[in-house]
Amino acid sequence: MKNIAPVRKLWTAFKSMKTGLGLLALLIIFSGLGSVLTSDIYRSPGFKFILVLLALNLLSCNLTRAKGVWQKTFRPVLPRSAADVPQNLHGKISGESAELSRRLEQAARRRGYRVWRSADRPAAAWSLVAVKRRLGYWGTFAAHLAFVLLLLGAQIGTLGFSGRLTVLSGETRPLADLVVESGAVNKDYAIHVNSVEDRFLPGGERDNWYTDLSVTRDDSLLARGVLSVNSPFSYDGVAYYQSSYQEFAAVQLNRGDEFLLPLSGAVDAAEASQRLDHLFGWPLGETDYLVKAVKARSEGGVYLRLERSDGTAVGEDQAYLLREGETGEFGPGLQLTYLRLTQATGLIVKADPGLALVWFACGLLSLGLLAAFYYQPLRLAAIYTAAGAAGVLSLGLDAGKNPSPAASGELAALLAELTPEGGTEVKQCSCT
Amino acid sequence: MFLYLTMIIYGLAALGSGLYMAVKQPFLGRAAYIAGAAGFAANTLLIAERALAAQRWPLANGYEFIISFCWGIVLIFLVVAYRCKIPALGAFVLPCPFLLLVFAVLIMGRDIGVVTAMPPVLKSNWLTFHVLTAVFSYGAFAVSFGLSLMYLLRSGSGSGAAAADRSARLPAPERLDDLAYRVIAFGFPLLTLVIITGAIWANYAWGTYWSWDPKETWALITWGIYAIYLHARLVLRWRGRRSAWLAVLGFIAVLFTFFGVNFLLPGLHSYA
Repeated sequence: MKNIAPVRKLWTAFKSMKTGLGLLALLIIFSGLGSVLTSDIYRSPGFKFILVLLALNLLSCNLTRAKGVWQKTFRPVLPRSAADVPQNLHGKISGESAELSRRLEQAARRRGYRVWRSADRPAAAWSLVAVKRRLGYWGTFAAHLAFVLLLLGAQIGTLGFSGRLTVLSGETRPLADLVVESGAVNKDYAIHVNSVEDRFLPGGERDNWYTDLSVTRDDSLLARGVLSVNSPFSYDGVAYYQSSYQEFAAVQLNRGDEFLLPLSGAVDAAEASQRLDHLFGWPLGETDYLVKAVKARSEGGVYLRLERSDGTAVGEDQAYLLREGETGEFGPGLQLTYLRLTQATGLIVKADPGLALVWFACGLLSLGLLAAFYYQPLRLAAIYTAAGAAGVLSLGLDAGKNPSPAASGELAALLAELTPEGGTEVKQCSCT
Repeated sequence: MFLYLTMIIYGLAALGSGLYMAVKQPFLGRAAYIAGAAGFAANTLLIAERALAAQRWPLANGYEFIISFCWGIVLIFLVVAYRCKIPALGAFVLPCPFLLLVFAVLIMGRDIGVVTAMPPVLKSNWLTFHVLTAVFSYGAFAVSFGLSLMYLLRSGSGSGAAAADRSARLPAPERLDDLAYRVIAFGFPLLTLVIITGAIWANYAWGTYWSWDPKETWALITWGIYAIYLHARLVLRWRGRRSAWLAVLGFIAVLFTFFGVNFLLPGLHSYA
């Protein structure tokens, strides 16, 4: 039995709010270090351990306070003596028992309070509790629970997968081709890109990139949808996000192999040479040459330049303009044919089984904090003590640990309502 | 035009509030408050002008956020100063929007006049919610910063003429402490919404709701500091100077989240 006391002490210390604040401070320090030094900190066991401890601390805090919150909301305790009445904002009023009882109950109900009162109601002494905005008691509870659920959702999310895939327009690729960034692909679908579009608004501003995508299995269509940046497409728990867009020039060397050259932006004739100077050159088949390409803005087609490995251009022109189907003679035995413009879509593919829980937790966190700070409950407690014909009603208002000036106004207004017209009852209000 | 007008009026309002602190002439306090309100009107026109030019909410880049941030700060300042009758508050809050606009003019330079096209990633309604909640929460934190500075000045050690002088110019420390708490309690749920709407937007745009991007991380750090402030106050009964220093630290984190991260820690928020 002697061993129980230290364990209990440790448990009490662990579930205390001080421990929670210490853990939160540690989380802040390590988050700051991670942003400055290395993001590996966020994946380290130590960082995850702090998060787990914080979650356990919040859970234990919630478990400790759940009964009290439930009681405050659904079965508030009636005061047994004047000392049980909240003292922060309180007042006293003398009068006849039945009249004060009726007036207090009516005033409280009129102001939106839910009222509980002593069952036996002896004329000599009765008590009453009235609570307004009861759900506000659950604000902190909900916010703490939400934080734990958020971490749980994030952990469940690690059971999914995510990766990137670049698919040409008209191409079909199995999900197994995904360049996986986390997890393992557990779906046997293929995706077919029906079309890719770089859409512009009438004023020339880019609207968005659009991908018309089909999800297939064994050549049968399972789903089809259009996605764009900020508007993903989902099927069977897998979401497809528009990440990038790329244009390619399909080029043929000496009427032989076809290959794709990435295009970077679009230029006019005057800018073409300068732009090509700054582009990366791609190896041209098995030759010792590099080829550069840029899209022609107004002429249609592409500007091409062939370079030797030392960076000197082949041919007289610094930039050849080739339209679709045209062939350019770059030197003896070096013919390039521009076949067509083709597009590719860059996709992020992600399955996150914890996402629904994360969004639920975010909603709960928002509601919890809004309740805790914008919907604070008011608990009015009153007890009547007989003293001859006119007893004294002590009543107090509990408006949380930082009562607002409006709360003292609420109590003053209640006291004013309780005073009979032309009455001479003693009224006292102590408002901080 | 409205940019310079707003900047000058905020500068004058800050100066007027400072003069009120120095000579304690009530008309100076009133004039500074009116100047602050006039600056707010000019700031509103500046935002409207930008919105008309861009044909969208002007919340897409650093400059547009600065002018909105100033608007949020001054709106909350005007409400708090009016309701709580604290004319000296302007001396501690109004330099903030003034200096932010000076920063925009001097550091961001000529680029601020150029309305750029929105990249596809910024075309989201979540961006509007994200930045609007940031405007109000950061505005609240700026005002709580001013109130906490006032508290630290008011409750500073010393006696005699200097302390009596401070007492005459500033409200009671308990009142400042309580007000700073109330303003933070208003801003904290909004900061939570900033982070959540940002996470939702990030998930739509990049397929991930949290990537430990420096901006996200520092928003979380700011949130953590204010969470500690509120818990320490409500549970551990922290009051006074410790609370005030935490509120100051919180606003330094706000500024670092906005400026420090952009200039020192590159990440996904390169446009912000």
